[in-house]
Amino acid sequence: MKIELTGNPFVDTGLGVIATLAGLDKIDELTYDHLVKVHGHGQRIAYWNSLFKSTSMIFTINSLITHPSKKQKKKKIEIYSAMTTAFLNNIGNETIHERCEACGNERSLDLDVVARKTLVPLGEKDNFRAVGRDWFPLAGSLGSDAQALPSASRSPNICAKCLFAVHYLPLGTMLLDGRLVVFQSTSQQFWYGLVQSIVNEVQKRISAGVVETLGSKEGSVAAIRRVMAYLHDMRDDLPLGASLFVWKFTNSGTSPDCKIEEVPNSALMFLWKSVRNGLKDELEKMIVKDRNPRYSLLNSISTGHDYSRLYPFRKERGASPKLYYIYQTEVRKISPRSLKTAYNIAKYAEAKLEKKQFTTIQKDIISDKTAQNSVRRLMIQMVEENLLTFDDYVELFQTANSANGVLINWNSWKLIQYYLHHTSDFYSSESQPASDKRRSEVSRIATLILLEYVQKKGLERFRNDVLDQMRHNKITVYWLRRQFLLLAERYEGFTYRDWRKLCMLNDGREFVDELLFQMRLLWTEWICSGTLPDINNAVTLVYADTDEYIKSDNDLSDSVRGLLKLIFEDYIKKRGLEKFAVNVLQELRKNNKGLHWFRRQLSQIDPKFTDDEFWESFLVGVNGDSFRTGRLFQLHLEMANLYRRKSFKQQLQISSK
Amino acid sequence: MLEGFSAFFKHPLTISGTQISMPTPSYSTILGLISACAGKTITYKDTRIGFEFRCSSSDVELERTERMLINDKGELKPHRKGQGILKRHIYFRPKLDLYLTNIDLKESFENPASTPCLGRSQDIAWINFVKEIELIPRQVGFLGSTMIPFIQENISGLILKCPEWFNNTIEGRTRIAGPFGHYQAMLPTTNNRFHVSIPELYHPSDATSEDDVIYLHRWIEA
Repeated sequence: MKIELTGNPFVDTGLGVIATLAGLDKIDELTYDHLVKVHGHGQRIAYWNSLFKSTSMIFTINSLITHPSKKQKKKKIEIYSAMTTAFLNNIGNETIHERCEACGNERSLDLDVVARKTLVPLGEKDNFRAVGRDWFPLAGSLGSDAQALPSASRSPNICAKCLFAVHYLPLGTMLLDGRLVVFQSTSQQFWYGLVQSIVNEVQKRISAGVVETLGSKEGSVAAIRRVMAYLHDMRDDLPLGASLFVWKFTNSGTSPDCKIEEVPNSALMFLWKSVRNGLKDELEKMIVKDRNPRYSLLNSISTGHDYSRLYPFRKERGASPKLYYIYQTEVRKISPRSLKTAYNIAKYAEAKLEKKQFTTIQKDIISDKTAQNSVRRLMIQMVEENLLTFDDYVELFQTANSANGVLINWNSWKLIQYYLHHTSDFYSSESQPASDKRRSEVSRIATLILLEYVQKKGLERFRNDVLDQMRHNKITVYWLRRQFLLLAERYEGFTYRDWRKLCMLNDGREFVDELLFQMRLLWTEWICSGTLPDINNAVTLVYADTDEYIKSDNDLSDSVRGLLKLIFEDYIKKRGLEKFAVNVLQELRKNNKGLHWFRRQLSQIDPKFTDDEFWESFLVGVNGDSFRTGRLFQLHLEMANLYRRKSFKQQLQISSK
Repeated sequence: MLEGFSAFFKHPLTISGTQISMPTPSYSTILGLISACAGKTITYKDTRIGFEFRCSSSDVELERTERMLINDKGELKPHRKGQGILKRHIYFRPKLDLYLTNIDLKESFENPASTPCLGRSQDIAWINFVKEIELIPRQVGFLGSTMIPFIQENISGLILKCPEWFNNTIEGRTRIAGPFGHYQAMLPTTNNRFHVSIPELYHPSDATSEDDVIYLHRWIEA
């Protein structure tokens, strides 16, 4: 009779132990005969389980083999082996016509009948016995923690195979964070190999007289050490896509508990590649220092977070470049190209900076903005020397145009920090292909600003007026607003909504440093390479704006926008579009017109704007601060966009005629 | 399509201690949900079921329990130790896309007889929309988080053995489990879809991608 796995990790681990003891290469080969051969009269497993400390964590201290009232060890082994053998003999002969709740077998074992028949002749009391936590892990117990049983009416129905197999669990489990661990995986081959490696280790320990549970006093590193040991000995490749589920449980005392943690495929792949690359010892040295399970290697690789011990700290240099590379690419999914860029930046910094300055940057780059700005200056130099591109930068810092400003992933500074301490060599297992050129909203704006500027004033003036000024931090948010206002008269995508998307954070503060830096990188790259971008690529919007726009309280209300439209239409009706461009937009740009002009215009349509109190409140932001410049920018931008739409329609009409 | 605030699908393995949830509802749970909406018992004979289950996050909550026991006279009494505290692993903001082959059940979801629940009675759900769509057979496709009776090595998911349905027709008796299926339940906390080639795949005509498929469950013969 073939013995199938059940899907229940406790039972399956027990069956895995038996298959290992039977010397089977594949769990599929397990039959009832193997169970009989391995179990014999049950004396061996009874003896082992009487020694193991894990037995009481699986079956509580009330089980036949652990009960403290039974003093004679020989007697305990006798009744325990008789009972487990009775389970074995009853496989397929169960009498209760209810399905086993552990494996779904059509019949369940009548534990009371089997126990009376087996134990009473051996001198045990003729008591009623029901399946509880002393017979099957986490199975509940009638009369004590009956809170979860079906209406507290009965004990669970379990078949003989399941009741039998769990007695082999102590040989196939280990301790992790004070709980016992069993594994489950979608890859049967991988799971069985892991169980085999634990059983073999436990057997070696038994031979040496060690009965402590595997992993005891090893903290949170035991499981990962075991997985690494198995991966080290594994003959085949790690099955594609395999992941591992770690069941941590305890069944002892009054606090039975269970927790499932996933070790995803990426984490297994990292361990496998590390071990295959001869990094097992290095990893082991690292993980023995793990104290807090939350920040342990196992938890970090399971959650895909960075692991702090990879980085230099005090006298320690952190992980080797090879281990670091594998961790970042496999667990954190950082691209090889980003790592290479980080390394190149670090290497360039080492070559260009004085030793003292380099040491300061090594130390402070994560937290100190001055150190970061020094590295940013070096990045510009690298672009000038054709050693870095805008695309490299974007990939390294994983920048994204989100709904809250152009921001970078600050964790990317950690990559540079690591390589600042490891400039001598760069490990890479694969080439770093250049990814597709990214056409972002940033590059669109940078293109339009550059080309408009060059068209009007020439390239040299752009170098002097913009790039040189940027070097001295003279280009600010006001400059960028002016460019926005200018471009809004001619191109789509320069509304206040676009401004908020690119230049404002969630809390409403303006943040343009990163946007300006990225544009500086782009301009430097284009000018140094002598290839200016094509304006046709920038005229159309490059991103699909599908985000739902959430209005800010500081936005212009629809009623004010409606009034502005009336003012605009009235003006061009009376004076024409060209006059509007010269007398309004140009004057607004020159600051010859401002808030007073807008107030006058608005008051003519809506008298409430004549009221000083109302007007002052119109110029105050939601947080109570003055919003005068912001409001003027909004009003001006609205007018510029109205002008563009109208002039575009006029052009269409002319061309259609 | 149903949505709720919380969901919990008891793992059959843990009676004592922290209550673990299965990654997705089992087919028996979904039959119960449909029955609640229909106001009568809907069995495996009435419809085939396909589903996708997602949630935004999961965590452990604490729950005060009333503990009961049956005394020697067979009477149900409060436990002498009083109330208990239970840790329970639950899902937040669950979403269930349910596909049924019996379109007569449409009315049950348009005017449900009682509140559908995603697990416990407090895990109430609301029905976002009900519509008729076509299910087009496919050999391969990208499958979302669901429960399949074929273990796929390359997909992360918990292996489970649980009943296809329960019979609850004998008055005064607790329900009786039907046949057990061996399943792989995919994790609901990601939006990943996995490339699969298994039987009973169907492409819903309203799917966002041409390659999306669902698994339509083939009931185990009783």
